[in-house]
Amino acid sequence: MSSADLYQELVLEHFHRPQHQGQIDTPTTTASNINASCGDAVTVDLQIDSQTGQIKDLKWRGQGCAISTAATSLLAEKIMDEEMTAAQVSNLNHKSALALLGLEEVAPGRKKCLELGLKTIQKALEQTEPSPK
Amino acid sequence: MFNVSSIRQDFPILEKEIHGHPLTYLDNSATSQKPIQVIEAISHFYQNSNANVHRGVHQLSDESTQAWENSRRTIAKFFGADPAELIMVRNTTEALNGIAYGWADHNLQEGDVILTTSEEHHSNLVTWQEVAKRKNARLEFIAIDEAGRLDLSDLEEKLKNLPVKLVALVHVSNALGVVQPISEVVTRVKKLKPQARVVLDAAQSAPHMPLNFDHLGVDFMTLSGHKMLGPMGSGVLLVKKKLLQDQEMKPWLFGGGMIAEVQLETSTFHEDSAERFTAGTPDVASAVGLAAACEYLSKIKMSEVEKHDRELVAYALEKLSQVPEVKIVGPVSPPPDSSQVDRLGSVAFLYEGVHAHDVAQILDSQGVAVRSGHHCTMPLHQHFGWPATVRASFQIYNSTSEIETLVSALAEVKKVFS
Repeated sequence: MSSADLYQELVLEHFHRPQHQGQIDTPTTTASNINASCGDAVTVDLQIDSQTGQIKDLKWRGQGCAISTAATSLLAEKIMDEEMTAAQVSNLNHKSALALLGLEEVAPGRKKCLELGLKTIQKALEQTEPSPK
Repeated sequence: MFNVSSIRQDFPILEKEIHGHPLTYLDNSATSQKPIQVIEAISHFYQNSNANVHRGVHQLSDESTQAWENSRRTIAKFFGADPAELIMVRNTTEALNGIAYGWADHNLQEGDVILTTSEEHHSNLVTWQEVAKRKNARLEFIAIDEAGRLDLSDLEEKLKNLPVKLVALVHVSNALGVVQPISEVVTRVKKLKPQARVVLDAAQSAPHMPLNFDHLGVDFMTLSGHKMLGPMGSGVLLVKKKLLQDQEMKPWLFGGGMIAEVQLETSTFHEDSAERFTAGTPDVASAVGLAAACEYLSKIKMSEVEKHDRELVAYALEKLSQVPEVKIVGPVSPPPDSSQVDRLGSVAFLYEGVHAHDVAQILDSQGVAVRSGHHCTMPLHQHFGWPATVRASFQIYNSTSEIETLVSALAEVKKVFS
């Protein structure tokens, strides 16, 4: 994949101006993740409506490469713009992340970068699920 | 006369094109490419002499045993060691773990100190963390400066005041390229804590400079064959003869080949230390390959290899310093007592405003292979506050024009991210 394909405008736009960064004072749930192979790190705070399961607020912070930053920013934007619920977000996967960035695929070495934000958000959501009886 | 273009002809993989560009392979600290001579030696073994060693009386078994023994002799000699001091392993990590299980577990007591540094590769750190847990020992860290150089007076203080039983040290840092003054360290250990044993991680020095185990004065030396033109799956553990003969170091793998007599409830182990530390079927083909690599390097002469590497490092330091966005990590100029920069094998750097991963990806699109991340030195990167670095590392087949290619490819990074 040429750098033109991977680093197209959308990715660079969200790398330079990432959306929904910051923190929530008293979040419903929070989670962190590190991509051990490359040093990307992200922390996500979520505010979830306990009745509807809708994610009312999402803030994230961390340091990472263009792919993980852009993917997390685009994902946060989608979740907030579409007023997604916890259940809907839990169903997102690698393909959804690729679609957000407008990519057909990423090299195996960048897969973790692409999924870092999504996996962290899903980790935070898992913490709010009732434990199995 | 060291001739890079004629050396390159021995390495078929260097002809490859990557994304439409010639391959510029600068990830040698991770693993090196192999000359056709090494590839053919392995292939020849499998085509002509393959059989299990020592276990049969048939012709092929004899040939295989000879190939194994001859390879061991060649490899030991290359490192200035006696074949009785050589234990063949898969890589440096396995060698270090072998010392942990074979020596540390039997010789460290509660409260003992393992002295190391924060710039060690995880294989020379995590291994000792686990030993410390098992033995209720503890780790202490010799101070380093911003270039990764050891603080020798801190080393002396710690040797004097702490119950140090083991010093585990990297020779050349895979992240910073800094060359540690091993003879200075050994002198101090011998003077201040003569009972302590010294482990030298030579994974990144063995490919780039002549090493003589006999002269170095360390008790254990570990290295990876695959980083010095040998096959993957080849690694070397050298142990001072006395430690093996006195059984201060014991086997950590048991089973076939390493025994003398086996009964139902108990067994005795082979008298010969080479046999005692070779459990199971050895990887003869990889030993043959590594021996071929040693011979290849001997022909070129390791002193010439070192000279070439230092030229590449100096050139890379010069050219990369001229790129405003680049901040080089590790030594960039000679230490106070020398005219030569104490750096070997690699030059790693940060790129302003762009994550190492993205730099490496864009370099790859230009056919340039480097490594990005924390290079198995997370504590070091954390200590200096670097999320990740980009590392270009060298071998005998690299040239100064390839360093120029690296620098031009970096211009693409600037274009994409501006």
